[in-house]
Amino acid sequence: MTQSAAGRADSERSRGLADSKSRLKLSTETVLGIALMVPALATILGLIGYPTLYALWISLHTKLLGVRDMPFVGFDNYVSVLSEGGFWPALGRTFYFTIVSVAIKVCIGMATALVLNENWPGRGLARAAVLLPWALPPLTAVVTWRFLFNDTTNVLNYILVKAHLIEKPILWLAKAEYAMPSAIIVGVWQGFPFFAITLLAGLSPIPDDLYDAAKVDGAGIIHRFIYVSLPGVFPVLMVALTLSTIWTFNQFTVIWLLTTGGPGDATTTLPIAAYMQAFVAGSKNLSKGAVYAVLTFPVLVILVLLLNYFITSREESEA
Amino acid sequence: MAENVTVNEVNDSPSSAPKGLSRRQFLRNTAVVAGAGLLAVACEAPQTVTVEVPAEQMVLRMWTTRFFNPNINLHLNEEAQNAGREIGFAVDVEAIPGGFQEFAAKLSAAAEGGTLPDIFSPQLATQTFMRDGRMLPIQEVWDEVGDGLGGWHPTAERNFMLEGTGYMLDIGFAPAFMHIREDLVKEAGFSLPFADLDEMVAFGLEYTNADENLYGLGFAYGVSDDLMHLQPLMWAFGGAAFNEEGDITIDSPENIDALQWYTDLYTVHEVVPPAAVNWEGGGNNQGYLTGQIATAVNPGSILAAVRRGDTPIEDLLDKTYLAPWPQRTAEIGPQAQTEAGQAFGINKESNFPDAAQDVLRHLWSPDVYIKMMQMGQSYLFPALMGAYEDPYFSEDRWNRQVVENVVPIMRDESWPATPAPWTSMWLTWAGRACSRVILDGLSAAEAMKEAHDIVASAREDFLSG
Repeated sequence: MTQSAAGRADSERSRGLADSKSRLKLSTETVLGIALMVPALATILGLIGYPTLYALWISLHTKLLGVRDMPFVGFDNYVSVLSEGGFWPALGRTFYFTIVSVAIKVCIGMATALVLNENWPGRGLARAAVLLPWALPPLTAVVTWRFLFNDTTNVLNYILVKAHLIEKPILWLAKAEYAMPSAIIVGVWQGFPFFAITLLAGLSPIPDDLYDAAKVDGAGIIHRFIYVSLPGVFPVLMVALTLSTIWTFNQFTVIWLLTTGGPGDATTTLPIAAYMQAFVAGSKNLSKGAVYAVLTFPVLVILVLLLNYFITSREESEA
Repeated sequence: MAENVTVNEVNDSPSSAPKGLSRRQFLRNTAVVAGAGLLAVACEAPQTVTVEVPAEQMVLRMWTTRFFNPNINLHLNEEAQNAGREIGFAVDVEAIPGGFQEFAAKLSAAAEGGTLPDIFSPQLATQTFMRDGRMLPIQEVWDEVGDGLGGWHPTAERNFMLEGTGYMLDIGFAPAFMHIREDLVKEAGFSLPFADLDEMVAFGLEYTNADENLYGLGFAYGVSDDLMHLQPLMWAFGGAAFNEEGDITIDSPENIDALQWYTDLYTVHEVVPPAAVNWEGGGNNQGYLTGQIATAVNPGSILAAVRRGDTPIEDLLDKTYLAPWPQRTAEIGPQAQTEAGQAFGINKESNFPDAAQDVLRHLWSPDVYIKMMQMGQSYLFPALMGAYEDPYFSEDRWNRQVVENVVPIMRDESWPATPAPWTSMWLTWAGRACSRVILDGLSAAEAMKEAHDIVASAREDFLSG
């Protein structure tokens, strides 16, 4: 009995030892995993973390272009930016630009994806062609558009007048009411292929049987889109929507190259305002430029959280 | 070398050849090596190391923007290499793409990161870099170069000397002047030079035909080229953005009158293209070169393009008359604006300050310098007075018009104040004031008050920073 008890004790001890070894082994693997992640983490921290923290840091100081001294001013720059009157209109214009641009991109992207998902001759060529605006260097694309909009060359106006769509030339980039739509047109032209190709990837795996079954049940094109295509592509759509919203909210190249934020402030969105503060206007105040960038961050986080919420709630309701 | 042999011996030894490294050993070894490395770095005493660098590795770095005329960059690059060869250095000249803002961004990042090149032009940050001790004083070179070519233009002395010491060598000026289509002016029944500003407006009214997209006056009203248009007009109206003591006087009655007169051309007389309110830098260039506008105020980039034949208009060079802006008459006084120019200086922390000075001496030697001006094709006018005696400036019909009528009366953007960071950083207040009147319906007085406050705020930033 004693021997048996001792044996059980030995057995438990050895099992405990084995467990602890197992835990140790797992722990070693975890460490190895972390070790393998270190280069990637260091790169991410270096390329994203450091600039972010530095932007935060200089936003609490007065840092002017070329000036070595950088006195600490606490939240003075935030108070100044939020009260100077430039921030809120820029935020409004950024939302306007983002919401309208993304909405149009989704619509055109979805329509394009649906067309490209059908079987028709030349589909492969069309799929490649759709990617062109996305693949072109932004500088080339925007300079070309600027040429089209230009009041001297008048290419777009000439076409529109000849087509009897307008009666007299429109000052696309010189009138405040047209400048933002012009920027949106270029942004949409450049960005819709991302939606088209992404949504096409989401549409492709949907089995034809589902469409056939819907047809048998009497569903028309619109109903098949709403009840078959849309649910199938929804997760992909949400991811694309999230990414595109972030990119569009931070859009700088298109607007800067097209209008430099003008006329007046008509197309001055937050990224443009940040750049103007830091490198163009006033005292070339890098700190105030950083404040704009820092203030953009929570807005983007809220946007992303909202989109995530919609995705999650949708998935939960489906489950 | 001895260490390498030891390592090889150990590695070659059968007994020590690795038989397979366990994960734990790998991690332990990695941790030990990393820890030892960190410890070694942390414990290392700070020290100044003088390295004897072999001649073939000695490189001087030089940054410049891309000039409007790429030939200037080519010449600068070639002569920098020649200078380097003379002193046993390789000179790495990098022409930074993009405009002044992009250059400012790059410069700022380099200054923060301690990677400024040996030779560079601080451009927008010239005054701050000089005052902040980032530039090496080069009085000796300044004097030598000046003595070699007839002395420096006062505008160069105002902008690139600090308390009597030269810090940077000015490559040349880009004064803004009027390009006028002489043929169109004559066709409209006028003659040049215009008797006064009113006659110029009368020509604008006579010539402008909006239905045909033709405009008499091609002035800019946005944040591009803003100062070169409005500020000389303020001088002509008896005002200035700053007084001699450096006080900001942007909202003075004279300046308000100047803005009112200038914006009236757009809103009342409608003699400028509507798109001028948001032209980018090349807007008026394009307008003049395509025949949309009959006059344009610009540095010589338009003239340079005309000389190259970058225009569909036949014989445009022969049809072009150059004059100061605003038109020089007894009533309005002799003022025309110039950019102080790109000036090159030496990073105070350069490892090769003597070699860098030698390169500058070479680039500003009479032959090399005058050739650089010629390469500019009227985009650059010399900062060294002796260069104006070269036939390129004294005999060429168009250059002579600028040399005789514009160069003697040109002022930098800070005039009459002593250049300071907040007077010379091209704050874009002038273009903003124009667009506030035209687009937002502000009165000239309100727009100038706003501009005044913008510059005052910038000055406050500098004084507090």
